[in-house]
Order: sequence, then structure tokens, then C-alpha cells
Amino acid sequence: MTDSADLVLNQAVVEVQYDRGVVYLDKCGALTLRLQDELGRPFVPIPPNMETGEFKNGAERIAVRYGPKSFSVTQTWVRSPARVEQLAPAAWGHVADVLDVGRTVTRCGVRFQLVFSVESPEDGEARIAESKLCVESPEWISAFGTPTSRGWVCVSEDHRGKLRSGLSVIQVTLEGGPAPSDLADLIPKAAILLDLDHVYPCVSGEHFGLQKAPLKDFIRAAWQRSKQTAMTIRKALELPDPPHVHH
Amino acid sequence: MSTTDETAIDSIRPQPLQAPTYERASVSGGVSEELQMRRSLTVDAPALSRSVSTEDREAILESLYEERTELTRARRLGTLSPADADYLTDLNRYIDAWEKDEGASSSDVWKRLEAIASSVLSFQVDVERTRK
Repeated sequence: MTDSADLVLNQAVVEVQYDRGVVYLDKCGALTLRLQDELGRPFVPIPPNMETGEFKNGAERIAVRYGPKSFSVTQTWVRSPARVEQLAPAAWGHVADVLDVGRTVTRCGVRFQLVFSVESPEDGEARIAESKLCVESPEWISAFGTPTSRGWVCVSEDHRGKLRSGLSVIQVTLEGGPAPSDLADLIPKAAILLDLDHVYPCVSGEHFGLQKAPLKDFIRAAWQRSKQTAMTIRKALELPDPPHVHH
Repeated sequence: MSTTDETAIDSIRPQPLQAPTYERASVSGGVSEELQMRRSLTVDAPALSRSVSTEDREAILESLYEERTELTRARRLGTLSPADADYLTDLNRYIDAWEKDEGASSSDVWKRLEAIASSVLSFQVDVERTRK
């Protein structure tokens, strides 16, 4: 039986948006040094400009960005956000401290873009159609005709916060050569993309405080919820087990 | 008031601040991209290629081991939350993948083995010469 270890993330992103970050213009240098000490090797700083500072880690395909309006940590093509979960709260602690924006947060989001490999875009469309996950009404058919491709984008909200969910078929195109050997098993030719953007619960339009520990808890809770959703979607789409799974 | 006067006043009147967009999703290109379904994904293969030095690999593993140590200590003390237990599982898998990633270090290990073998052979040759 497959488990969450077989999930593939095209992208895992943690982003914090804030007000009153203009002090970045004064302190970007000091913040860069603090982050350099925190992140360590193999993160390499890109010289900051007036809009953003950035660290890149090519080995793990991670980027850390910060500026007067937002901070983000992004990792691509990975099986879990464990490393992002380790790094993002620690880095955010320094950004919040140096720029003094820990209490003027306007939005915190954690986004997971999961890919389920399919034979072809047509195979993906057929699976979505047969799964009944996205069903058009007779009124829709009457107005627009029977769709040849389906997807679903919606926003839901409960005590855990807001969740923007998207389901669609994507064609993957490799440019410049074959996929690196360590990613050959992860990058599909065609896939069903499950896009889950979790928003930290807050009152819209008001500042709120965000510290390292609650951010870490939110990232983990969002991933646990995303894993459950992904397993449910996978089952509904009747996707075959990945080749390396043994029963 | 004439049009010209109105224009002159408008030109010095401060423009309203743009309202903050609280619904903007992470790392998106704008509202239109948000509402659309993704249809294609272009992957820049050369940009994803990597060459990981031994030092980088060791630094990554050191950082991961440090994080894991904190969690395993909490587990031994019985204070590990279910969420952190789940995190530890993912962390272990991530560490396993890096420990098995020998692409960066295998060439270095072989070089060291070869250097040792060369030293041993040189020593043996020297011993034989001395005997003669």
C-alpha cells in the first residue's frame, strides 16, 4: 500500500507578508549576515538590492528570500517539506527580529504543489472525469457544452484557517536537457497537480504577531492536512502505485 | 471650474494608496494566475542540475543531524508531540536520502582509497629495494 512517502512536491513554499518592513532598506546588510550565520553552508547569499535579499542552496534546491514586504522559503522537487519546516521558522525569527515585523504580519501562507504522475494529459483528464471530483451540472452543460478538461479551484475556511485548493492536469516540459539523475523519478511527463495553499488563521485586514514556534506548528499541521487530502485524491483518481512500491 | 484647472489640481493631488491584497497566494504572478488552472509546467533542467561538494554534503547532514538530535531527545524524554513525531519521520527519510546520495562523495572516497593503496604499494617497493 502506498503511503505519504510516495508523494512528490513540485514546490513547497512558506511565505510571510508584513507591514512596516521598510526598515529593510537600513538593515538588509545586518539581516543578510544574521541569515548567513543561521543558514550556513551550502546557502550562498546573492547581494541584496533595495527590493529583495536572497540566499540560494543549489544542492537542496532551496531559495530564501526577504525584503520590505515579505519573506519566503521555497524548495522544489522534494518528497516532503521537512527541510523547509526546519529552516523557515529559524530564518523567520531573524527577519522578524532585525526588521521588527514580528507583530505586523498581514498574511502567512504555506503552499504545497503536489504532482501525481499520469501516462499523458489525456489520461489525467480521463481520471479526473471518472473520479467525479469535478462534476459539471446539467445547467453548465446546457450553457457551455460538455467540457473536455476539468479542474477545480475553490477556497474553504474553518478554524484551521483558509485553504485554497486547485486540481488540474499539467503537461511537463523539460528544457535544456534531461532531468538530473536524482530527479528522474520525481519529474513526470504529465501529471495531475494538486495545489494546496494554506493561510494562517487571522482577521483579514488586521496585523497579527507570528513567532517561530507557531509558524513551525502551522507548517506541520498544513502538511499533515495536505498528506491526508493527497491520499484521498489519489484514491479517488485510482492512480497506480509508484513503480518502487512493493507489497 | 474649467477642465484645465481640474487637471492642474489632479496633478498635485496625492494618489490613493493601493489597497493591500490579503488574498494573494504564495508565490503567484497575480490574481489572473490564481484563478486559472495550471496547464503546463516548464522545467529548466540545467538550472536543477547540481554538483554537491563533500563539504556541502557534510554541512547539510550536520544541520539535519542536529535537528534530529533535538527531536530524538524529546522522544526519549516522552515529550515528543504527535506532530513532531510525524516531522521526525519525514526528517529521517530526508536524511536517509542524503546519506545514500553518494554522487558527491564517492569520487572523493575512491581517491582516498587510491591514495592509500598507492602509499602501501610504494612502501612495499621501498622495502623490496632495501632488501636487495
